[in-house]
Amino acid sequence: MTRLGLLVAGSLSEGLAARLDPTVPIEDVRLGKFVKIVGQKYEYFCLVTDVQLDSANAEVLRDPPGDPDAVDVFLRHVLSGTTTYAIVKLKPELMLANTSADVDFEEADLVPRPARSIPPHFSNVSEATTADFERIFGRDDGRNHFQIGQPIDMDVPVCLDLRRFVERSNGVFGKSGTGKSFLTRLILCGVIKAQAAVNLIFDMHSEYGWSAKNENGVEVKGLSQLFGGRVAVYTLDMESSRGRGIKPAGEIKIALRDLSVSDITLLQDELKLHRTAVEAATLCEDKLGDDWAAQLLDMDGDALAEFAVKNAGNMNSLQALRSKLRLIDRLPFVERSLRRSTLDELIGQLERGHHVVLEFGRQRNLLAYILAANLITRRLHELWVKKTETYWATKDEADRPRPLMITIEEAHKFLNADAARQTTFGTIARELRKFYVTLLVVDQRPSGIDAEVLSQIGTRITCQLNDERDIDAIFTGVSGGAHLRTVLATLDSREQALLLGHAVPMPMMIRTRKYDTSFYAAVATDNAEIIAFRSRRYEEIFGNE
Amino acid sequence: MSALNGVHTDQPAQDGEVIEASTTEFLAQAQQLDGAPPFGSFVQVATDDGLTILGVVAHVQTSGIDPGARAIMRGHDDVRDDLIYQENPDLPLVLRTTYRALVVGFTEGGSIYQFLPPRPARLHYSVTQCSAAAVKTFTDTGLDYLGALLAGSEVPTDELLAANIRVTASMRGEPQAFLQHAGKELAQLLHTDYGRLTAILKRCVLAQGTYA
Repeated sequence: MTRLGLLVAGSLSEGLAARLDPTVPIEDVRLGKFVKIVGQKYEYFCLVTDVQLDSANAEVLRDPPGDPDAVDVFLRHVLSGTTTYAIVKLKPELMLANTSADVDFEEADLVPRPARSIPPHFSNVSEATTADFERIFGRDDGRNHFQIGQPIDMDVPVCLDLRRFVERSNGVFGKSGTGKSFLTRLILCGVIKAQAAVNLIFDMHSEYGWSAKNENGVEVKGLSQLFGGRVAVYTLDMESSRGRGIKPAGEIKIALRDLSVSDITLLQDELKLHRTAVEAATLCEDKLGDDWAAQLLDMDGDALAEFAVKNAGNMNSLQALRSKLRLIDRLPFVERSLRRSTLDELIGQLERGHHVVLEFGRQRNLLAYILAANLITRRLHELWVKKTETYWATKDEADRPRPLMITIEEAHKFLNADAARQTTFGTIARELRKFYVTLLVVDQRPSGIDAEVLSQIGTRITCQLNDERDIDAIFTGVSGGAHLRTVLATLDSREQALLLGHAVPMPMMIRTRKYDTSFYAAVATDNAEIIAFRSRRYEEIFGNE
Repeated sequence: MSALNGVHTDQPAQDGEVIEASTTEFLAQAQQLDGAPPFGSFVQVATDDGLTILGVVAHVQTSGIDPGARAIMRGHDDVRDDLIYQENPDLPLVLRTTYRALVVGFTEGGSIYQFLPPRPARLHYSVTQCSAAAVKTFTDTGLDYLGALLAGSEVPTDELLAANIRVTASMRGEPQAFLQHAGKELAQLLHTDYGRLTAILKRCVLAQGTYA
């Protein structure tokens, strides 16, 4: 245990101040470092929130020994740690019984809980050890805890509590190029391996299911390669998937009759629709029923005029709506009618506990993404609500729905202040786990997400962000956010993140775990299943000859 | 040149004898004229009851033995400096060198204490210069004694501190480490007086010359 210094001042609200020992190089004390203060009854776990140069005598600063000659070098050596010294600001996060103290503790003291007192003057401040990390963050056991990374300056696992993680909606934030999708993939691997929830991933850039290239152009494995039969890949663009040598489990087509007004509302921005056109859509749905979109598209000018007059609709709005509907109608995965619903198959997979990646292929424009994601999620949400209600009625454990986690990218498009009130995503984010559906929100503009939704996000995993508003958004509904702002502001642009929230006992700055061969080996323990899956696929493609 | 008049300062310091003693300091007469231990060095007086008092030479003076009789100029023509002593062999008998040492601690029963002893040194007991080993042992126990030097009255305190640190550093054989250690101790003692601190520290290094 390396001693760093002694506690000299502070308060619970403002944080603590420790004087750094002169032997500790100040440059080794980084922002966000995890340190321990041993008090008389409790051990306190703190984050370094600031490091400050101080001097016992202001005269030093007026006449500092600045020359490179021998005398000033000597003076600097002498003064450092005596007249001039460093103060480390600490934010106490957790307290835990000091088991070496001669005190009878209650049961509650033996688990980490938020610090509600502070240690006395001159308590020892030291670096946290591996054992401390394990006491606080748990150990990666392949079930409840999943190692997501290491602290910035130590080689110790930092784990997410997966059971807590899937209890609420979560967010992965960071500006583009900071490794959000790698981090997301990492988390998904953890959740899949531990079977903590069933996952549906709306894979806008086709990078989760099968192999993708990392920033250095090196191929990395997708979820389907790692987990074999437990992950099914569906696509909206069969041609693109085949082009990449993947044979998806199915191609998803969406029937125009499944389109509802809420989809149109959500697409208002993408389609540049005026509010009156949305009202026109409501009118059409009321008058024409489920198949309103197809019927509207089929109307010629006269029929439309007749419909407008008959139903007191605005002709201009109806025309605008119809021309925008053509954009949707032209999407390759949208069909007037379907012989066989692959969407039902996809939902069936999820119900059976298989994870699904939905690739968008070349359909990576927002119109396609929002439309498909919202429509599918609405179906799923309705289904899960029904299942939950059944479970409430029967109280039979067998009826308890599997927790479903839906991963969406560009989440601010679904969850901005306007959309969040209207879309299923907004409902899911607000309802928490009541209906066993949660979101994994991946976004680069957290400030674009509705504040009410943000405040319900359980665990926030944040890579580098520069925009002040985005940083503010991350700390919406977080106490002590001011201390963490500085930590967040110093994250590297790659492979570093700030963990915060429900699934971690205290905020922690980490180096994210490497997504490489050793990681593959750690998560893909059931190789036999993968081999079986591959041979099955081989048979599918080439026949059983 | 005979060792009797002891004018060469590079000759080994001779033992002296306590001629005045108090709790905080003692005055010793050097056995040889100009034979006082170096300014700032450690000296010790052992008593019969196992108490050894340590002091630091804080002031050295050479004058006539008779307080009423002041030395007068003896040089003439070409007779100067050492030739004066050769021409006046009585000089070592009428002149004397005395030195004042501030008490900085004592040893008793094998333990070292860096505070004032229960009894002062006994008159007419021998004063000897501390060996390098004794200096090392004493300074290894701590540097609290620098505070006693700093509190000395009627002595050039700042010069005394610098001289003691220089002498001790060179005697201990690891000058840089000791300089830093002592410097930090001084910085604590003089935390309110940065100007004085740097003035003393500069004197410690300039003499060492090779601090880097």
